[in-house]
Amino acid sequence: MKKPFYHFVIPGLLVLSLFSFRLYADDDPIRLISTDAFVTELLFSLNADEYLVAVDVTSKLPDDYRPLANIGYHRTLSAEAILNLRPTQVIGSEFIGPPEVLSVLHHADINLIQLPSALTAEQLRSNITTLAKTVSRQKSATQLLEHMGMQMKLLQEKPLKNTRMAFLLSISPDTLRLAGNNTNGNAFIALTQADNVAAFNNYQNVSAESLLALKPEIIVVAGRDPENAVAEVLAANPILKHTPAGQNAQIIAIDGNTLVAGLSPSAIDEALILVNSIEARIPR
Amino acid sequence: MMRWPLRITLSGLLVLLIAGALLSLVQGAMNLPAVESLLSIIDSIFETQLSQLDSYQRIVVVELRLPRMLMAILVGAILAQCGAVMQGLFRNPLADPGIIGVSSGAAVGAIVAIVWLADSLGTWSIPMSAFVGGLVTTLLVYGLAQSKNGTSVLILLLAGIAISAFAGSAIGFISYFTDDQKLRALSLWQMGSLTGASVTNLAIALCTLLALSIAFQRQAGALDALLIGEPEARHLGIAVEKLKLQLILLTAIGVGVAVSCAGIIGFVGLVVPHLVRLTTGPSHHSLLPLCALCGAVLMLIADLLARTVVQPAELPVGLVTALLGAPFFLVLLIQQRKYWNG
Repeated sequence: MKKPFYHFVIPGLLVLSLFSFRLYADDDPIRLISTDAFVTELLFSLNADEYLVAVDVTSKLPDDYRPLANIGYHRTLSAEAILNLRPTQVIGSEFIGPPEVLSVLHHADINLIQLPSALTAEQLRSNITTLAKTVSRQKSATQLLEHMGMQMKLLQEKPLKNTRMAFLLSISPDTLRLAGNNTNGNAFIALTQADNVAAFNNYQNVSAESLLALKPEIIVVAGRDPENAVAEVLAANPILKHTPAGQNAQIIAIDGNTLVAGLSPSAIDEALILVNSIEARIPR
Repeated sequence: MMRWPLRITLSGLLVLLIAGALLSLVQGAMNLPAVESLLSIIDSIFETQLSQLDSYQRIVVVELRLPRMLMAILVGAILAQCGAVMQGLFRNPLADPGIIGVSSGAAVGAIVAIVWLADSLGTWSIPMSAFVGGLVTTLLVYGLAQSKNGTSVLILLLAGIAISAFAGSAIGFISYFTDDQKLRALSLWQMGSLTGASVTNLAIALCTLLALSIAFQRQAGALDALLIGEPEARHLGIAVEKLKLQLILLTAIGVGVAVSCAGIIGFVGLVVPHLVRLTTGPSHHSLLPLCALCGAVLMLIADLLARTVVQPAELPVGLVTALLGAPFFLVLLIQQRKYWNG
């Protein structure tokens, strides 16, 4: 009795598998690997996340998103693992590596796209345009860029010119990590057109005393928990109440996740919220 | 103390080495048929057409897995032998190849290259700078230990520790003032990686291993004599000062090459010699070649795990060596406990 059953099932399965292979080969031409958080975020903003087959360890995916392979840290990629995922494009920052892996990808004809992480709105725009071309999402890009343009215009209408701003990265409340030049924090300050109080490069730990001496009029605290960030920083460093920012209640928290990998569309939204809230506190 | 016969240990390690090497070639993130993978290596050597693999799959086996496998063997064998020699020379079970300052000097060299030299020498800037840093530091430590009575092993040891601490704080200072990207590059370099294996550095590592193995083996008798004590060795007619200088220089070159090929790989140089001593005894004639084999096996297995455990991501191999070797070493120690006295 078993034989006729197999006569049907095996050819049937064969036909099915061929059919599914055809479907797969035709309808899924783009296979993307994103190796940087900002690339993943932009792909989501462009509604192109459906092409993702793997992301790096820093990329944030929405909760209960379909499971994606994780290719680890973008500086220590494994060439074999990437080849195994058969991507058409690998997109990441200029820090993607190691170089040996890149040359293997090159030999395997995998398109490697390196975008500099954005520290200016211009760079962000150019990243969006380049990415949109890669994934054929020019229409989404136009909408996104239009929205960004409007936000930027609103920001320019309320410039915080000649205002001394300090940008603190809140890792733990008692460490004051101040943003200098060439940082995401500085890029955020530039969006509001305020002046950065710090004159050094990169992020540096500073003492409460030196922050007091810098006389910031606005202190931005970027952390994962914007609701409690200000209270925590002030509890650990009560002396900050004596800065101009502290005296005028201008110590303001923003969502640090929007700045993890340079400027993003949501960081521009965040800058606008900040500027509006400052205006609400002191009518100028 | 019960020991394993030399022949059994030797053949056991050889079997493990061959098995590990074959496994390294057929295992990885990409699921490839084992026989075809091995055939593709024969193809690339003899220019035959036996394997059915696609060209990109051949790249995976021939250009990714094969060089890494060879580099793991070479680096493991170099580090373990250097460790055995340093423990013999210092007559100290805690000595590792880094004790003469070579690893910490190399780390300073690497961070200098990462922060300031990155573009000037291209991909060779970090290995070159690490090698020079390691060698210069060793010479400094050796120079500090000179007195009119010869080289003091105690001062050598202490100077090595002091210079390592100094190098540690130099690394701390530079990394404190550098940006996050360079900091990440340094911390990854310090965890070790075999990704950078190429024909050139494989050739350098192979020549170093051959030269070291021959030179060390010729001094095996002298190292055995040194175990009784320095004055005793001198009375046996061994030119102790010359021996010290030669062994320190060779170790510095060996570790320098290993570090510049693969970054900092801890544990292999410290524990492999102990493993071998516990199983087959302290005579350097057998200790040195067995250490080379055992170091190679440990590195091979560590790299195999580093490549496959969290795929498609990859672990730094330096993290896996200790994770793998430490429990094994502890088990051996516990087994030997009944022979300890007092």
